[in-house]
Order: sequence, then C-alpha cells, then structure tokens
Amino acid sequence: MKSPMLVVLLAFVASTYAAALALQSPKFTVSSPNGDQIRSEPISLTKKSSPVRLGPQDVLRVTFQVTENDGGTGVQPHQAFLRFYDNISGEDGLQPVRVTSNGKARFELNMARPPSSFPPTSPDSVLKVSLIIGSFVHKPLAVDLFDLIVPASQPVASHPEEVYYHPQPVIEHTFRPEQKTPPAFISAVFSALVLAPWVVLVGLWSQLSPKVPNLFSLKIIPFTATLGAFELLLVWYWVDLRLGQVLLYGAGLGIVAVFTGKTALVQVGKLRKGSI
Amino acid sequence: MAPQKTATKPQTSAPASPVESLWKAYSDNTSKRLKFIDSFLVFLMLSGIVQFLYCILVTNFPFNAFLAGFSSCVGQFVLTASLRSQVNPENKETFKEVSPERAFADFVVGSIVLHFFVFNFLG
Amino acid sequence: MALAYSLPSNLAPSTVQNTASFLRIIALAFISGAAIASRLFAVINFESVIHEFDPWFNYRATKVLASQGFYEFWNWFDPTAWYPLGRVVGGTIYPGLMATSGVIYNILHALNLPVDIRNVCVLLAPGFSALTAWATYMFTKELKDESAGLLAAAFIGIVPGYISRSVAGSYDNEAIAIFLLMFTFYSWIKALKTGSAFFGTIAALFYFYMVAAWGGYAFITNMIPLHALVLILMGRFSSRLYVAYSSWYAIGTLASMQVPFVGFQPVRTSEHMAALGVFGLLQIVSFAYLVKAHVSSKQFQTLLFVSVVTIGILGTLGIVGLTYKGYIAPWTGRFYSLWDTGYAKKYIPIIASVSEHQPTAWPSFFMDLQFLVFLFPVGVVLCFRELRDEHVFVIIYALVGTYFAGVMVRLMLTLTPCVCVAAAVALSTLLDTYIDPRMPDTTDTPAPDTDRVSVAGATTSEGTPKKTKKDKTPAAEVTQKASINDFATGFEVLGSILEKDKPPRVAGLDSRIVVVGVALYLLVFFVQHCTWVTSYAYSSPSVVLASRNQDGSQHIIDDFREAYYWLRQNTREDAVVMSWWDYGYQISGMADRPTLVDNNTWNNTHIATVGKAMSSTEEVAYPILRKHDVEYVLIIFGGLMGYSGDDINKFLWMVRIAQGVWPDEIQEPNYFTPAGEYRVDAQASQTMKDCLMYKMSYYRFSNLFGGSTPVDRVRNQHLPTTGPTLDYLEEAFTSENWLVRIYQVKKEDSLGRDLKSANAFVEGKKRKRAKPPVRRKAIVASS
Repeated sequence: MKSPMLVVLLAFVASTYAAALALQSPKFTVSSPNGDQIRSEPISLTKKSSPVRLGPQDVLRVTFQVTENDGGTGVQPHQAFLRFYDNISGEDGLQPVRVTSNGKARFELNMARPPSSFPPTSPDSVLKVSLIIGSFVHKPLAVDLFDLIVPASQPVASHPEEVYYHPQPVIEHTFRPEQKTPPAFISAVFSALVLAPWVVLVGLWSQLSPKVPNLFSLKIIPFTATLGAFELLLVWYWVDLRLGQVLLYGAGLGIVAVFTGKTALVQVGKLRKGSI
Repeated sequence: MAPQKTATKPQTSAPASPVESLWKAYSDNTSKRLKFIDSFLVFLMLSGIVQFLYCILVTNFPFNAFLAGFSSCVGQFVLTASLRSQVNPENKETFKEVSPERAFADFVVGSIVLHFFVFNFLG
Repeated sequence: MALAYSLPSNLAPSTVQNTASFLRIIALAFISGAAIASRLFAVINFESVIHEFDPWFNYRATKVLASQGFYEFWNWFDPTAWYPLGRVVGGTIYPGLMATSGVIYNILHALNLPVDIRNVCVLLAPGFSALTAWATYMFTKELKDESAGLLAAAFIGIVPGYISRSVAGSYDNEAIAIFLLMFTFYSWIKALKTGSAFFGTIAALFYFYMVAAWGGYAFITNMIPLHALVLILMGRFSSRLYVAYSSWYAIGTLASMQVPFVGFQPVRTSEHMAALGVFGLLQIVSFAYLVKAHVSSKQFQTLLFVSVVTIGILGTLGIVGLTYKGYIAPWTGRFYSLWDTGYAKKYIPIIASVSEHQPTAWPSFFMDLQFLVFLFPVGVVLCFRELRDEHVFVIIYALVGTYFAGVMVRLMLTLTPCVCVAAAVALSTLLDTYIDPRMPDTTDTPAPDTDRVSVAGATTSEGTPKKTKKDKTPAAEVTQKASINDFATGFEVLGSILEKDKPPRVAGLDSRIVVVGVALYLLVFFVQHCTWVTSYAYSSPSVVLASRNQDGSQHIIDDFREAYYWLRQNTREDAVVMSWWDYGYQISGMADRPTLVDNNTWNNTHIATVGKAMSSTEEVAYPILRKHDVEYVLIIFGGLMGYSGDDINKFLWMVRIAQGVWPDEIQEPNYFTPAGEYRVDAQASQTMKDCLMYKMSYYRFSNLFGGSTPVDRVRNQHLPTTGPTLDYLEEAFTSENWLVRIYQVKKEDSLGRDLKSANAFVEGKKRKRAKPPVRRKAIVASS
C-alpha cells in the first residue's frame, strides 16, 4: 500500500525540480600549430557530423553553454566531463571541463601535449567524444558530440597488477588413478594356483601318514582347542573386531593357552621319554 | 621361498648322480617326523612362489594384502624351518636348552604373533 | 690354597645363593630409585612442566589420544599446523610414545587414580629410565655375569649422556626408545645364545615397539644384520643363528610395516635392504648346510660352495640393480649426512641448522660419560678375550656407536648404553680380580724372571679353557712385591687378564685395598659428577629459564610462557602466528594458535617462505604475510637479557634456507659487512638493517637506554641510538625481559594508500604531490 504511493510522490517531486539541462551552441574548432583554422563547425546534437581528424600537432577547441531547458538561462552544473572512448580497445579517458557560472565552457585539446587522462589509441581507432554533465538539481545529461580520429600512440602498457584481474585457473585435485582389478578369469586361475599347494600338502602328508596317537587324549586336546580358538579370534578380528578388543581377548586366551600348553607339552615330553 | 628355489638350480645342472644320491641320502636318513615337516615346508614354498608370481605377472594391488600373504608364507616357512632344525636330533648339541616340546611352544608363540600381524595387515 | 682374607666357611651354598639374589634385587631397586630420583631435578628446581620443543607436540598429541581415543588419534588431521596446508598427524608420527602414556593414563584411571595426563607425560621418561637400567642389567648379565650387570645398570641409571634425554618433562621419543633398544638387543642376544624362536619373537615384538616409537629404529635394523653377517663371515654360522635371525626378521619386518609412518619402507628403501639381504643369505647358507649334511661328496660340496657364493653376489647385484632402476628408494639425505658430515650443510640446511645434528665436540664425551670413557676401550678389549657371539655384538656396537656419536651430538645417546656395558665389564673384571680372596700359588716352578712368579695352569679352577684362542705367553705374570708399586701391579694384572687361559691372582691384601679403593674413589667421583651435570646442565626445561640473583637466590625467567599465554588470552582463536619453526610446537601447544611452520620440518618450501619473509624488507614481506593470513609475528630476542639462542643468532640459517629456494632474491653475503662479519651495529650491511627480523628485534630497543648507546648483550655490540622504524607491523606485546616480542600485522589501509605513506601521513610528513601517470605515450618518429 505504502510504497507505490511513495514512488508516485517522489516522481512528482523529481519532475518539478529536475528540470532538464540543455546545450546551447556547441561548437568545435580544429586549428593547426601555427594558428590556421582547419575546420570549425557547430555540433549537431541530432545528426552526427563527419569524424574530426586531428594531426599530431593540431589543437581542438570545444565550446558550449549549459542552460536550463532549451533557451533558458545559463547554469553552472556541478560536474562536467568530456569522455573519450575507444570502441575497439575499450580504453577511455575522462577529462573534467571547467564551466563558468553562466554556463559557458571551453575546452582545448592540444595533441602535442595531450592531458594525462587521454587514452592511448591504435591506428584505426575512432574515439567517441561525449559530454557528461551532472547536477544536484537537474537531471543528468549525456550527449554524444562527435567522433575523433587522432594519430596512433604506443600500445597500452599493461598494468602491473593486471594479472590479478583474471579468473585464476581452477585448482583441480589429481588423484592416483584407480587401481585396476585383473580380469575375473585371471583371478580365478591364480586363486586355483594358490590353492593348488594344498593338494600337494595333502598328497605328501597322506603318503607319509603320520600317526597322532595322543591327539585326542584329555591333556592335549585343550591345547589344540585353544590354538584353534586363537586362529578363530584372529579371523574374527579381520572381519569385525577392533584392536583393543582383540588384544584384550587375546590376552585372556593367552593365559589359558599357557596352562593348557604346559600340561600338554609336559605330557608329550613324558610320552617321548617313555618311548625312547 | 625364492632364494631356496634358486639354490636348487645349480644342482640340477650338475651331473645326475649327486642329485640322486642326495635324494637317496635324504629319504634314507630322515625320520618320518622331519619328512612331515619338510612336506609342510614344500607346501609353504610353493604358496609363496605362486603369490610372488601373481605379484610380478598380474598386479601388486593391493600391495598390503600381497605382503601379508607372502610374508605369512615366508614367516611360517622360517618358523617351521626353525622348528625342524630344533627337533632334528642331529642338532642336539647346538640347542642344549631347547627340548622338542619347548621348540614346539616357541613355534606356536611365534606363529600366533605372526598371524596377528598378518591379519592386521590384510586390510 | 692361600687366601688373602678369611671367608666364613660355615654357610650352605644355597644360603649364599639366596642372599646374593636377594641383594641383587635390592641393588636393582636402589638403582631404579637413583635413576628416577636423579631425573627429578627438573621438577624440583622448576616445576612439573613439559620441556623444550618436540615434547610439546608429543604432549599435545597425547592429550588428543587420551581425550578422544585411539582411532580418533589415528585419523587426526591437524588443520592448525602448517597453515594453510595442515598436517595428517596420525600418519606422520611415531605413535609409540603417545600410546604408551595413553595406556598408562587409562590404567591409572581404571584404578581410580585420577592422575593428570601432564604428570604422566612428565614422569614417563624417569620411569622408563628405571626399566632401561633393568634391561641393561639383563644384557650385561648375558655378556659376563650378574655383578657386571649391576654395575652397568648403575652406570646407565645415572650417566649424563642418557639423562640429558630423559629428565622429567623431556617427553620425547628417546625417553622410551633407549629401553626398547636395550631390550631388543638383550632378546636378540638371548635368542642367539639359546637358539629359541621365542626370544626371536620377543625381539621382533620389541623391535616393533621401537619402530613405533623412534625413527632411530634403523640402528637396530642394521646392527642385527651386521652382527649376523659378521658371524657368518667368521665361520660361526649355526642353526641357532638361523633360528634367531629368521624369526626376528620375518615377524619384525611384517610388524614394522604396521606403523603407518613406516609403511612399505622395509621392502622399498635401501636402509632396510641389508636386513633383507642377510635374511636371504642365511636361507641359502642354511640350505647349503642341510644338503652338506646329507652328501659327503667332496666335489659336490665345492659346487655347493661356489653356487652359494654366486647366488650371494647375484643377490647383491640384484638389489643394486633394483635401486638403480628405482624400485628401491636410494639412501635418504639424512643417511648421507651420517657418512659425509658436510653433506647436510650443503644440501639440507634444515638438518644442519639443528645444533644437535652438529658433530660432537670432544669435551662433551667427557661431560656425558666421565670416567666411562677410559673404561670403555678396556671393556671392548676384554670382549676380545672371550669373543663369544654376544661379545662380537658388543664390539660391533662399540665401533658403530662411536662413529655415529662422533658424527652427531644427538647420537651420543645410542653410544651411551654400549659404553656403560663395556665399562661395567671392565670394572667388574678388575674388581673380580682384586676382591677374589685366592692368592697366587707360589709353589709352582719359578719363572725365568727372578723376582716374578708365573702363575701356573694348575690354579685354573674354573676349567673349560677355550681351544680356539692361541696362547700369547706361557703364563700370566703378577708381581709379588705388589706393595712396592701398586699401579704397576694394576697394569700388569690388566695385562694378564688378556691372557685368557689363566685367571690372574693377586697377592697380598694391601694391593687389593689400594686398587679397590682407587676404583671406589672413581665411582664416587663419577656419582658426584653425574649429579652435578644433571642438576646444572641437563635439567633446564628451556621453556623456563633460571638465573642467579646477586645474593645467590634463584630468579626464574618465565618470558616464554608469559608471551604464549598472552597470545592465548588476547588474540582470536584462529589468528595465525608466524615464527621460526623452532617455536611452532610451543605456540600450538601453549598458545593454541595456528602456526605456519613447526618442528616437524616436512615442507622445506614453506619454511623457506617464512625465512624469506623474515629476511626481506617490509615491502617484500608484507604481501607474503598477508597471503598467508598471518596476524601475528613472534620472535625471540635475547639482546637485553643475554640469551644467546635467539632469532638473530639463528637468522643466518633462515637466510640460507630461503636462499636455497629463492637464490635470486635472498643472498647470504648481503647480510654480512663488507669485511665479512656478521654485525648488528651501525656497521651492519644495509640489507641486514632493512630486513624484517632486524627491525622487529631492535624496534624501540634504544628507548630502553634513554639516550645512551644501546648495547646488545648477546653480540656485545653497540647499536645506533636511533632504532629502526616499522610501517607494516606494529608492536603488540613484549615480554618482561624482552625475550619474546610479538608484532601484529597491519591490515591494508582503509583509504587504499600503501601503509608506508599512510604512516608518513600520520606522522605529519608532507607527501610530495605526484603527477598522475600518463597512460598515453606518443610514438617517437623513427626518422
């Protein structure tokens, strides 16, 4: 509800105060270094005149008067700039223009000593000259005046910090290439090969057919059982357990194993001595 | 065991009779118990060689698993070989303090510790 | 047989034995007590505080371990270290130390003893020194006997060479590593002696613990193979050696690869290849022996021998070839610096910049070992006398250890146990000889020398003479007229000790008393020396300094902690602090702020960046500081106090390290005067005066002297009365004695000026009006 009202109100206020500015009798003159006038024309704000060409020593003069509305009294704007803009290279230069209190202004460009803001140019660049006027109480004004062709200067020297104003290359993390797993066939073949020695082992052992007469005696079987438990614990560790747990269980099992092992091995020792 | 394998090579190039005599001396002079251990050693050696070949010929990925498998073979091999030389009656003089039972207990302790690390390394 | 003094004869042998073992236990308990107590000087003189630099990191890591558990610790990524890189802590440390104190901490808490983790850390080293004494006792016992073991334990308990690394609060890897070293060696010797795989496994387990605890494990990795190789070359191969070495190597190597920091190195780097090579050699040799046992043909045995040698050579060539092809990493620079002492200075200035990596000065041998230095060679020579397998080990250890101790101050630590063992063997042999009450048997045939009597072989009651050794002279000689010249007697007895077959006998009581008295005097003096050195030289925490007031009372200088706590209290939690790498661990430990570089010197370029910032002008340094988000710069300045370990004295190393990376921008000669002197006074070179470190050190220093000439008390030089100015940094904090100075890095000027002109503006200096730059340049006519 509130904001559209406000906008309307502001627009009304602005339209009453911001009377437009206008240019009166803009005119340019080109003269050679010895003072001869080469070209002198009023500037048409509606139809662009042919480009103005300046020699290396020539002087360009621009005069105009800033007035309120068309044909009103001359006013002094707060800021006035001439902008030289090179379409091709994108370089531009802003040169402040002094405007007197009755709105009259006069600007002189000596190509022998151009102002420091004047942009560098290439042989085929055409500078667009426009006038920008700013004021607190009036609407701003920007008018294209004419095109300007000046002798080429040395190419633009790049700014020392210029390199920082480009998008940096994207940092890409390089990872180790994914390891290839061999084809299933080769894996299967080698699995079979790795398992093959078991056949050899079983074959050799069956040929030797060792006798274990006391394996199942009461004193020895707990020892073999604890050894089996150890292996199971380690497999369990591989599958699931964490380090602390396996050390704890292992310690417990170790104490048991010491006792069972002692009885078992003493028994075996007795058997051996007896058999000898 | 790679070095073991290479160790046998020069013998095959030697005249056949020494190898034969070696084999004969071995089968005659070795007790059944030692032969039992020896066959286990042969088994471990073959397993180790196959794994090593796989590592060289196919891939060594994952390296830790290969190392775990291979060194379990090597470790078990040397522990068993130690057990063999300790229970060998010929070495009785060398191992005065180690009775066959003590040797077996050592073997068991060593194997359990070895297996613990193998499983830890398997990944 | 005559006795020099009477012995009680009515004692049962079992009583004597029980009393002896009881006394041994008591003695060991006292030795442990002395070992712990002498390391507590640091706590008594100062307080229970973590010392020096590295311990601060270990302490911090232990806190993480204790509070967050083992698996969290394992995966710990520390973003505050090496800002902005961060550090994977779990994979780049030896976790043994932290794990040990974590376990102790948890056990104590399980027993409802709420001990602070800091106190566990502070007292860990003294506790483990007691265990070291015990391990040394066991080791020496295997070499000689129990009494030598007790002497060795007493020596290692109080010898300054070991105390220097294990006082209370010196919470570093070496604190537990020496115990592990000695115990691994003990288990190895024991395994070799008995041929038991059990002890081989124990050795492997302790080797694993050692690998997890200290980078010096490579010493064991190469000592044991070297011993085995020497034994093989001496023709002493036995199945015992095979059992001991194989079980140790197979389990130990697999175990060592479980430590993430070590990883696959044991199969990939040259440092570990010796162990692998000896392992392979042992397999071949033992197989050859096995075949030999079955075949008697002479020709076949020759063939076998040749093939073993060929395979050995082929194996060595193979390892060399693999290294050449790059499958095995060549020796690292740290290893090269052990062989060529100039190597580190040339190629790795970071290593050379650490004072404990410098070659050892000879007085420090005496300072650290005192009279053990003289006994050490005697002990080694005595080892030649028996030359069992374990004696060979001690001899090799002595040679290798002496060399390394000469190369690097730090490695004095690995020599110390060996010195203690050898010295204990020597001293106990001396005491055995002189306390033994049996007199030389005078009834035997007199020797050709008229006033001397040869001690005949009849007196050898111990029997079992070794057959391998050849006799040098027929009999040991001992003067009867001992009272005339006791010292001569001493030397001759020592000489005769070398004749192994006949145990020497000493005549008379007077010579015994004199020699034993002298030995006792040396021992007492040694104890006194150790106490003095420990309390004065080795107990300083270096975090807290002490000086004496004029009345002799102690004055504590606590600037470091003052500054670190200032940082902790007054800066943002993520404010990056730049300092030289020495102080990185302390800043992160005490001030808890991110640091650019620290004592884990893994990234040379990053350190060189800091060095460059310190050694270039403010204008150059400022972008570096800003790019690294540095907010504070911390430096150590000893000029006021006379503290010589300050940053200006370390400055040349910063320059050198920076020069290694940016040789075009930083050049060491620029920091010297034209005459080649390193000066900080008015004659200092302009580069020196402009560099950030110089400016930060002497900023406002002259104000202290109120117009008179400022004096730098470390370098004894007079400084100009107008000190340097700083534009890009401002002083944030200076500690009480100016030891620590902290500067804040200014932010960019809010008006877009560079800070130098902004500063000039504040000071009211007129800026010269500068013309705006001309963008357009006319083409000059070519004609």
